[in-house]
Amino acid sequence: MPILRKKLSLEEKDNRIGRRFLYPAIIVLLCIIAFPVLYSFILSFFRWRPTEPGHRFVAMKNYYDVYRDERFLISIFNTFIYAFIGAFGKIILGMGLALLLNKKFPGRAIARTLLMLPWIIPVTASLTAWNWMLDGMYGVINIILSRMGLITTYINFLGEKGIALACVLMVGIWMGYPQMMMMILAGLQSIPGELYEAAEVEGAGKIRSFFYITIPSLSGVLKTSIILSIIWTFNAFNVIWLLTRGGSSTHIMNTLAYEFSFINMRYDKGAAMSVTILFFLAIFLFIHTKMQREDSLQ
Amino acid sequence: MLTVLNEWYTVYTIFTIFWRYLMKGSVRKNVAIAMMVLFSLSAVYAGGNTEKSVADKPVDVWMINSPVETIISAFDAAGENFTAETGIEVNYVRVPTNDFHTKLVSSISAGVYPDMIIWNSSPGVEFSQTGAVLPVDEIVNEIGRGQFGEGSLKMFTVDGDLLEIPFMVRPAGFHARKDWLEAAGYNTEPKIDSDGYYYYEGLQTWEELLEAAKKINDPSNGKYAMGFAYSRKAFGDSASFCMSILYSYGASLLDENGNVAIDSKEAIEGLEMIRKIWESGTVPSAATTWDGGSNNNFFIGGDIGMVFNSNSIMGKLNDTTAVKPEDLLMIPFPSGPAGSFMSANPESITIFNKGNVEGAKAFTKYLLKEETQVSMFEIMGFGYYSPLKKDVMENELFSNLNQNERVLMQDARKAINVSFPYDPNAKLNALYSSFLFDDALSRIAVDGWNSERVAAEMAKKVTEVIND
Repeated sequence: MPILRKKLSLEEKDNRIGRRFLYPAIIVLLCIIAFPVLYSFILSFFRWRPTEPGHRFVAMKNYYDVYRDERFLISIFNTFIYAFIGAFGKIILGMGLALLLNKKFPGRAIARTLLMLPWIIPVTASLTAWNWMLDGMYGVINIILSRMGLITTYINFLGEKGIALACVLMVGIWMGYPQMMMMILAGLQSIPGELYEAAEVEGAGKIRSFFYITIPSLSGVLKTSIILSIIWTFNAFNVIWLLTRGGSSTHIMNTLAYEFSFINMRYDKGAAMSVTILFFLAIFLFIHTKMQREDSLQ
Repeated sequence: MLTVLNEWYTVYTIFTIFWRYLMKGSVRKNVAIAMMVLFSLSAVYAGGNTEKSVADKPVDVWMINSPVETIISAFDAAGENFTAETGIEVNYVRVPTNDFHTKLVSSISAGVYPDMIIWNSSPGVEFSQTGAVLPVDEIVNEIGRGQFGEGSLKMFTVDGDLLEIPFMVRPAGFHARKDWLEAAGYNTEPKIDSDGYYYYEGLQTWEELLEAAKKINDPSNGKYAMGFAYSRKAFGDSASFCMSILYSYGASLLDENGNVAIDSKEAIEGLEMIRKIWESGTVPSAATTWDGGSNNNFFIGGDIGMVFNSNSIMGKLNDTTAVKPEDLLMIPFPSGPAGSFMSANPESITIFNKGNVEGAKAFTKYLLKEETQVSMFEIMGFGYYSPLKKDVMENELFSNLNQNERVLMQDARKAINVSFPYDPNAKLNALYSSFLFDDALSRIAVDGWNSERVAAEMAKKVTEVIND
């Protein structure tokens, strides 16, 4: 009996060819994202050390050990502080500067370029510069504060508990605001000018226009920016690792997981921490996806 | 074998989940084709490699990326001469100090080993349980065990197998400003003790050194007496500073019965000394955030009076630096009540039992030859490295050392590792890399903890690792 093949429409044929072009990318993504994530998940249930032969199933012991570790609990606290304050700091600064750049003034192009610099400069270069600027012995910030008469003894910015976390937070905001600024600026430029003109005719001042036109018009951009900024900041590593190595109580979950895995060589406990980080990130991603779906329905 | 099976089983499980539940028929077909192509390419590539002879394959040697140009030249020359003699290429992979451990751990976990490494952190002992390290008794026996101190061989012997060969030593030295000390009234002419070793009056113990530091300290002019990093960013420098003081006061991580002993009376006394140094104000407060190069840079820049470091400073001083070579005084490493001990592992050679093993063995033997080492020292000079092998030490090249070089050479005998005074232990070695000592310094300087509390936390960490 001859095999009957279903005749495909031109569109179906196109789709099939299109899907085939996607397979290499899907395979690569599976290898570099899905596989390591699954591998870490499995690893977190084993005793798995690079200095020991073999791996032993230990069920939830790694999670039990990690959740009892005071350092991990502090790092969760720091992560939330760093992610939320960092994200809102970037949004507020980004918003202020975007509003400024949305106005016409001489030198706007130069100002825009200069304000983008923190995002453009290579991370290692800018962090090395911050490291020196915040140095407790020769840091330019100390010198300026001292010359202004605001301090009598130099502050050890990255070596004092509390101050160190505030400093890495500030550097994180400085490095991340340009991205937010650009997103919000794009949103501002899409608001029709007629709305403001109509509001002016109706007698609304600048503040009322801001709260009744600008903010509602930007709500979609702002919601996405806030969630994305929290996710990105939650995932931060460079700033803290390069400035303090997690010292002076500045460890966040990512840096501590790295330390456990690659410095202490406890891959298993590092994996348990990473899975926990993934859990938190999944919540934020869920919120983000839900918000996007609601926006598209509206 | 079990490890390999276990890993393959995990890969198989993950793949099966994808295959059965996440992929549709048409996707499966295309994935299968892509994987067949990948496997075929891998097989062709792997097949090509196995047919190469020892001489065709280069020996991959990992080592620290030295800041001193002459060191790089000396190793390059040794590699080139070895290639000319044997036809085997030497491929040096020079890794920054701070990244070495991480890179090595990642590579070993991934099963991609270098053929050999030259490093001073006992990787052979650390990875002794993995079966990845080649025992090297045969090479040492061939050269003659008498050429190496028994102590240094013991440092690298685990369960009867010698896993590393002592190569040279980077003598960590106590660098001081001769002009500052002289201005404070110290005599910088060396005295000689009954064993023939140099010493300086008033600069022999940690207590005496702290007194001297107070005299030369001048923070109002930005000049500090002591440049000790109290920071986890100065991995290595801060750990060795802390460990050296603790052990000089008689502390050890374990006692003779294998019980945790780092909260002993001696350890607390050592921590008390560290706290006294910090509270004396002779160390800049910024030392809590220093990295590995800060103390060197500040010393060379003329702002610090004393630093304890591996000797990269001597090679960097010249007529254009703020501190001139004649301003440098190497002080014999200070002692505590239990003696004078320096945390300084010898630079050792570790060979892995996978890859170009024969090439690595041949290059190791070549590097250990007297004439090879003498020609290396002729290029790099004395100071950054000091010889360990008896025939090299007795070579006439080392008969005319100056005052500072003699102090460096005599201090090499004070080197101990973290397991001291007991047998090497892989878990304790890992502790050294895990900020145990660095964090103790931070607790004192940043958190203001008292010595008892710091010792108790250290004991807790050691207990966790030992019982883990």
